[in-house]
Amino acid sequence: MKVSILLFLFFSLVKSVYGQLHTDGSMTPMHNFFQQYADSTIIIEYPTGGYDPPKYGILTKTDGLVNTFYYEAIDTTWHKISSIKKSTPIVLWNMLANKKILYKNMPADINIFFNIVPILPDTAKKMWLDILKFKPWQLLDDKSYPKCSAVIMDGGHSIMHLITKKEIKTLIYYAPYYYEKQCPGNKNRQGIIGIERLFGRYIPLKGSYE
Amino acid sequence: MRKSISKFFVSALFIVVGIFFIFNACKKDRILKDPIASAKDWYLKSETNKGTVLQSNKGTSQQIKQEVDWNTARTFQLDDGTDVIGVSVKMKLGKSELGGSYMLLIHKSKNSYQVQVAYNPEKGFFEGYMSDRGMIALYKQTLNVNNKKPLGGVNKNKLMAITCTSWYLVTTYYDGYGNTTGSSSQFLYTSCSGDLGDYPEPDHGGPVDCAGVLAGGAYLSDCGCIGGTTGIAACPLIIRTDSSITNNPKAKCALEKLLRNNTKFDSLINAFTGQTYNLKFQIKTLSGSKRAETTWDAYNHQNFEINLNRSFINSNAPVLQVAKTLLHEAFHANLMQRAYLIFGASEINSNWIKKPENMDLNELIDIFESKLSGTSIETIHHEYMAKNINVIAAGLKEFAQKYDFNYNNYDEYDYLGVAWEGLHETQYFIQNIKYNQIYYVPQTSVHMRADSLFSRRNDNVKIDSQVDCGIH
Repeated sequence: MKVSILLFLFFSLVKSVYGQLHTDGSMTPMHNFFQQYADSTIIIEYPTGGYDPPKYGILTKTDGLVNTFYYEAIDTTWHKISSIKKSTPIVLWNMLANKKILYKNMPADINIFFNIVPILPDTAKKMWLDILKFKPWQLLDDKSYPKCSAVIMDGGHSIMHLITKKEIKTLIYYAPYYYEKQCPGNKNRQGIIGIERLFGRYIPLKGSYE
Repeated sequence: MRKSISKFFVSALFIVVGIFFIFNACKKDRILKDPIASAKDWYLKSETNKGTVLQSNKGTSQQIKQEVDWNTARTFQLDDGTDVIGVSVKMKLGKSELGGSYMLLIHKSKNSYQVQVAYNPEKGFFEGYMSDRGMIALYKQTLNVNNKKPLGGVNKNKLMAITCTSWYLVTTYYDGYGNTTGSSSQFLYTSCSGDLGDYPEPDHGGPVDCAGVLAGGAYLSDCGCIGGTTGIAACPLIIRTDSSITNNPKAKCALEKLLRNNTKFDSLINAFTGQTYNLKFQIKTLSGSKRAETTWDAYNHQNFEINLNRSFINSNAPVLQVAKTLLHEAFHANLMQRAYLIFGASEINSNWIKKPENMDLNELIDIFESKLSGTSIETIHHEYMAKNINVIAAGLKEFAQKYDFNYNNYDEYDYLGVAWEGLHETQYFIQNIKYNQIYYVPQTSVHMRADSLFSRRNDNVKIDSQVDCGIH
């Protein structure tokens, strides 16, 4: 009976967590947090293309102060759980593993996977100013201009969220680096490429495929 | 009297109806006379076919016979509103065919027609799709080339000791009465004696092809001299492995094991066999967190690339995951190649609404037809791959069976877990797989939703996998 109740509770948890699983470009509690507590925020979302949730680089400005953060849901302790598989009862290990893997897949929030990027305040301000040169709030995304006829598969999306008190604007670009080479001259693609490069320089993420 | 009046009315009625029919028949004729049909009529009457010669700047000439494929005819409009017809044509020299590709660009000028001959040294170049913008650019370029390359010009870049000859395709046009209406000259190439890899200097009567046959029709390609009397119709399958792969033990190991010994990978790659397509594997620095990409060269329709992301290969990702990524990308390359083979190098989204002749793609077409507007090619591919996930799962199983020390630890969910990675956001997965409850621990009631199970199994395999490459 107890086992049944536990299983029921477990699957309820699975359902509730997976019910709100992330899809590329979607809003998360982290986005809402910055809308509520900051003036202007630029978030670059990095979809992984795999089961892992996206990563985020965050640049935010309020009252003249600029801050940098990142969100990267990498569970480095998973290997340890995996290593005891053969020495653990089968049901116990599977339930343990199932429950443990859920947390990294939760929508981004201010939690253990959220952290600061330790750069100097002046450097953060410079990053903000450099990014403003690309006029991010005036950029359009792929749905606003004709397609380039070149073809790429698994080209990956570049996603930018522009958050103000008034709105959250999401711009989505498919393989902008490739298409800028094939159909050069699109200011919007050039903008996202420039902004992503600056994020990559100031907020380098670890990256994880394993 | 009454009878005569009736007769008169009947006769009048016949005359009126007759005139009406004749008038409408003529009208119909006029309406049906489209620009292509008109140009074809003019072409067939104009004896243009008899007026084309391969001419050198030294005065030698050879009669060329044009073989126009009117099925390829299309129209486009220049910026000034002039309608132009483009149609592929083969240039026959004796029994053989001149190398390169040719297209007649025909437009009406006053009461007659004018023709430019567009030329490209690449065989089959005009068989692919070209946008209207591309056709206009081709027209302007052809006009430019025809005007700027005067007959008699000699290539001054060649050394003086080498004798060079410039070759032109000269076409004279006639009206329906045999009167000359004009001519055009298209520079083709320069042949030089002693110039390695070029055509030898012809003695009399035209060039010798790369097989050494006078007017033989063989031509130089990426894989050497083909066509004509060589007996080689097209370059064989070309799979190039870039040094970035061969210098990387992990990527090299995964690719070599797939290329040599994996039936599923072979079946995906074999779509390239016998076709003049090139597939190149390499490692590149790619943006973002993606593992790999597959591209098709917009400027050279025959070239495909599968690029593995350098950061992915250099991470702790196991060889089995690299193999999965290669299977996934090979699937893309296969679908791209087959689609372009059938439909031409068109903007595929718009072309894929047409019924295919290749029955192998029926299932794919079902997907196309159900998701026509606003669906990207990538999505279409992924939906097809999701529906055929067993191709990737079976390829992985075969790979693991042969090379993974921990093969005995895996079950079907492990392979599916790895295979679904990158395809788990497809509509097919969401609607048919995602919410299934799977009893995955033998002899227990432990079950899990498919998406959770596959995600976890994927993580497990990544940790467990140990492929025999001398690296892990």
